[in-house]
Amino acid sequence: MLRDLLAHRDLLWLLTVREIRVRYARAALGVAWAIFPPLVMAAVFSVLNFGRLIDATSPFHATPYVVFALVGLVPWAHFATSLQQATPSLVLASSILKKASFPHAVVPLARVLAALLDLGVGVLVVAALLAWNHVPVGASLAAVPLVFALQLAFTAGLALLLSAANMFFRDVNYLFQVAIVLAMFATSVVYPISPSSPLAAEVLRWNPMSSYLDAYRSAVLLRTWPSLAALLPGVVGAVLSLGLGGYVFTRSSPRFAEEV
Amino acid sequence: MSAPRIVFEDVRKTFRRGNRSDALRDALPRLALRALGRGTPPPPRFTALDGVSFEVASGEVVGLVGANGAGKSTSLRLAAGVYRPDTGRVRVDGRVSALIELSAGFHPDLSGRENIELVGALHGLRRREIVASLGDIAAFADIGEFLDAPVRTYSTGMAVRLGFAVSVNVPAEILLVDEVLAVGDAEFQAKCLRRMAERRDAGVTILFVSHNLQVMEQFCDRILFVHHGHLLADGAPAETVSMYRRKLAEEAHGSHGDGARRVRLRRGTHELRIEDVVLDDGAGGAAGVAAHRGTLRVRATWSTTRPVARPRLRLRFHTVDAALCGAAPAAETEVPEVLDGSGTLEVLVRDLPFLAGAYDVTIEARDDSGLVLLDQHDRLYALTVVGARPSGAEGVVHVPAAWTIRGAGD
Repeated sequence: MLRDLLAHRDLLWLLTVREIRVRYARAALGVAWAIFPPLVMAAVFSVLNFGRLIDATSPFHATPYVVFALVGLVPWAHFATSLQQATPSLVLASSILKKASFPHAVVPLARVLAALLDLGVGVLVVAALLAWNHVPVGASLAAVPLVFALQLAFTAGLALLLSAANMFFRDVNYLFQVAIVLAMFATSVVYPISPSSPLAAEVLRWNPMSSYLDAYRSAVLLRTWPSLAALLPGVVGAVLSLGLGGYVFTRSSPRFAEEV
Repeated sequence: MSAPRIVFEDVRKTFRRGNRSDALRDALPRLALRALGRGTPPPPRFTALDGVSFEVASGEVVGLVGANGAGKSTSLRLAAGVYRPDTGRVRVDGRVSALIELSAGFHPDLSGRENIELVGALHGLRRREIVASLGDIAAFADIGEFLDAPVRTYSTGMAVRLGFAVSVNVPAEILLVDEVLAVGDAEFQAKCLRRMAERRDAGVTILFVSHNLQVMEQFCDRILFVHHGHLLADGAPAETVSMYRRKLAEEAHGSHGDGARRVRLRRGTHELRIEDVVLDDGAGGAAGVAAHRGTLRVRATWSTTRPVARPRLRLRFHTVDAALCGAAPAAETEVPEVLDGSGTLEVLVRDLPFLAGAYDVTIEARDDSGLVLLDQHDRLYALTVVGARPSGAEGVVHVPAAWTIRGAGD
């Protein structure tokens, strides 16, 4: 699958560009739309005073809440948008599935890559906010791309899994819409996770997305390298997701053309 | 001929029938029931192809004929790698350019140029290869300044032209074309065929589907006839096409000599009835067979329920796909003033003009006004014309001609 993908890297690139163009070409604000959802969310959670959930014992107690929230919201938005776009992508690409033989994985993966543009814009906004609030940064920023590579692997695996599942069961897309909202509340996107029971704590500790977001925060806001122990759920999540997603996708993709 | 480019080995392909469950909501309870041994077995699948084996040699042009749903497009998709066979093997050696479903895969919001790049990339081309053939493609599609306009602003004709232009202009060793001759105007069709001929001459292996049998006969080295998922014939174009035509006729009105067919295709008031129609060569040959340039004899009996004055009698000849090739009416002087009671009739066609092949024959009787149909046996009789086809002959009749060509100085 990997060799095939590599041979079709021009196709992956073209599909990604097409995705971005189609999404923004006819929008008056263009790429400015990309930052809109996380900004609105940050504003809403600020107004609702979610900042109070960060108690005095938290190392982020001194951080302006908007900065805290956006450092979580921007990478979360990439995750959510990628999957939102990738899940129905194969069904929407039915005409090209029937037209030629090519590695089908390029279709959902192009959606994940296209979402990187939104992420880039978001990162610029976060950088501007950090400067504005005089938040000092350090060498630990170098951890961000490394952690993001893990997040990207985790996202790509899920994108493969969900897009393939949606080929066979079209309600996967609806289930996903519900699941992503629940997932946001189970992840430390706009507040630190503080579960009420030890069992819930044990389960939520293994949330790969929380692991990535916490790592970004410690690297950006606390100037400390994320500990390997804290990143363990993220590494396990990325490996499992990519392995499972790749396996399911490779096994089921020969049947895609006849399922559409 | 060199090594085969396309090999089908005992290929079987089935599909799920329509009305399938598409939701987890339905599938989960069903799977649970099945796990408990209470479920209904999955519905039988539709067999699109079964036991199909053939090879296409490098540089060969092979046509696929068959009725709608016979398995032609499934075969092309298998060759294109879009489908995988259930059992058997499909081997394709070389780069494939497939035109399956005209213009499908174009994105309406992207320009013609971007779509060309995309379709090229779908076929595994590198971007520089696509850019290199962009000019040829645009020129062939004749879309002019629309190249940079979104495809949604194109007319249907333009989109179709662009689809074909991409497939025949991207570098490939194998070209798969599905029913391109059914769309576009005559000029575009001629252009498509010319370009396919150029690709053929450049050594490209072509597998294509068309309902235009005349073109298939001329263009292909070999024709495959698929029928209900089986490969019925794989041979010379003329023979395979005439077999297909015969099959079409049989499907249309039951097999020859079948009682049901006679009833269905017989019309008229039956005040005059024609019965016991026999076709032969008048020299003791087999029924239903006559030679090109030879004699055809048609004999029948007639009977009336009342005296019929000066009926108009006529034979008609059709191709098996029902195109009229010619007629042989009885001259006024050949018909008695009144037909009453019963008797026989005989028609002799000398110097039968039709080329070797399969035909259907109609015999009919009308009243003297020509308006009332007394008895018509519409394409009820099969006629096989035998004999060698003169070299270069096309169509249904032999046209004897003498050409003289002189240079300007003669």
